[in-house]
Amino acid sequence: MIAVTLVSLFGLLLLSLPVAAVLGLTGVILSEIYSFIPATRGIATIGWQAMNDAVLVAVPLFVLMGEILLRSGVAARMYAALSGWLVWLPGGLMHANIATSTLFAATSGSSVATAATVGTTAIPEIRRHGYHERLFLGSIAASGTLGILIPPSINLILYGAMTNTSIPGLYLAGIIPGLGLAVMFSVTVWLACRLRPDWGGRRIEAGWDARLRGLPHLIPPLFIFLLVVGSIYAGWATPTEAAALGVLGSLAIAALGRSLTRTMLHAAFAGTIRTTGMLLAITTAAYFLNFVFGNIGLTRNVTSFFNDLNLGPLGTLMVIILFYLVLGLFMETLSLMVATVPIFTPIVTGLGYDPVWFGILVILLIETAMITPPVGVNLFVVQGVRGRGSLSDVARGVLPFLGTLLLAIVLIVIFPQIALVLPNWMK
Amino acid sequence: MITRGLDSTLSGLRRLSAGGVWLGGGLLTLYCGAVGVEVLMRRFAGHSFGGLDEIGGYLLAFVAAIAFTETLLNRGHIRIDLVQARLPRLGQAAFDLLALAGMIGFYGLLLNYAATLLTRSVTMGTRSMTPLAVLQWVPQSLWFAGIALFVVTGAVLFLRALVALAAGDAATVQALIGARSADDDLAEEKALNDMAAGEVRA
Repeated sequence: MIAVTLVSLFGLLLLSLPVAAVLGLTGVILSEIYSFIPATRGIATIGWQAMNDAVLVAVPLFVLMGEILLRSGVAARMYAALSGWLVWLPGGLMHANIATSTLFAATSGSSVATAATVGTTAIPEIRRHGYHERLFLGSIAASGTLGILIPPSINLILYGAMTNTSIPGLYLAGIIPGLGLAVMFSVTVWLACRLRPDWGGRRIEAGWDARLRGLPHLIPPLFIFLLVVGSIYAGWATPTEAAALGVLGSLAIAALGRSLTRTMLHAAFAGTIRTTGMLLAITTAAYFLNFVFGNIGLTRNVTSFFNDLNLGPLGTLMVIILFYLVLGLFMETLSLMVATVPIFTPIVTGLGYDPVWFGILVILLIETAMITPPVGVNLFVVQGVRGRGSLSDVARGVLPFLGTLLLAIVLIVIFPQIALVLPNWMK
Repeated sequence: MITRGLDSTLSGLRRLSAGGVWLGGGLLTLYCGAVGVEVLMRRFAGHSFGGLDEIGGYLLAFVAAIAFTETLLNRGHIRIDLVQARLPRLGQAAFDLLALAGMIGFYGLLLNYAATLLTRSVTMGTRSMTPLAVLQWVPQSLWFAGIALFVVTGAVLFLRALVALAAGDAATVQALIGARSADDDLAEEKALNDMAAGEVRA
């Protein structure tokens, strides 16, 4: 049964079917082969429940919030503001790449938008200041993955919705690993440029005058982050309500910046609707697939498979981590997450691990998948912005950061407190 | 003749979907306004409307359903073209048709059972088990209409691309239903940014 599932998933993926159809049709195939009462009959009920889920409303709202901030130019201005403060470090603008992506992550969950915005501004600077091109590209691709870890993250909402885990808890748990990983990426750049000083480019001087003038551009993202995350923890709003407040806040920022125009709204709406259609088509199909998994006993099968292996908690966890790392090479990341999380989370929590902690671990693994070839969305986007040379430059440049990400995964497995200290403290 | 009929149907569907962008975005924004009022009232006046989260769920079902079509028309449903990208152009076009058929197949099946669900909600007068006690067929029929639009659009796109493939016109197939590359994603990002800046009238 497990084999048929994997063959169907991979076969359909390689036939280049949309991943939503891959997940859905795999559900139909499994139902036809293994189910006594065709599970397919439940498809509409499951579809309605998935699409009418009050928790998932936060998804299009956070997309809309990010779109408004992006289209009104707020995000692009952050880069110049941050670079003034960071260029003195060995590695210069590469730290600005990381810092901007981190701050961007607090306002938007789209890695394409992050890498495109940072990349468009930053890539022309590579030659101007003589940076090591590969490392520079790698820093953009790697830090673009932070968006799904630092709240408000759409992936964490999906994890929370599919496993009945507290979304405020997940958001709190993502903060320290997210900021920590950003710092670790910066240290990676710093180390690389200490070892190879010629990689760090020519030193750029930034005056205090420019630094101070840039500061106001950092207020909007911080305001949005405080509004969204703050209103959740002050107990004023649920995550969905916080997303709505974030949309109102981003509209206010756009209005203050005189960019709240009909054309801007149209662009933001179009971006939101297209992303929402993609996200919800996959999510709906994944809900159905997981319904079939439960119906035909595949979830039980996988659990007993792991029990028979008799690996103990840590051994089982290692197998699951390995599974994500390998599948992450080939699979699109969102579908990888929504198709597997409902199966693995009960196994992992059954072994005594915390579901909030596992959510953060999964996100780190998904981040890894976003920058590992042959299918690594951030590599493609950065290469696309660059528009010349070959993809392997980006893939090689991202290697040091991949090492850092794997180190972060090891750390979070050894020290679960990194993720859990904030949620436990807030309880 | 068939080509022209399909093309004009498609442009009609595109206009409909473009209206859906404004409708969906507008409804989401309105909902945010209502939630803002609700949060402030609850905090400072100790009063709650109640039921906004339930309405949010119906809103999501409707907006997501109409979003499926807009995403489809922009070739935005993610695919992995690892194998496909290595094929000759006509082979790629055949894969594109297969991919679309897969999407129509799954969501067509969903539509089929959704019709049963909707009929049952109408005949039994099912209501939600909440204080609002919403008659389920009302939001469900909007949702159903959205999914139906998606499946119909998929079918029209499929026929149009099939005609193109039969004529050996791989370029049209690619433009209608081809897999997107990262360059396409970036081109869309740029187009939306230009549009936002008011440089291009949409």
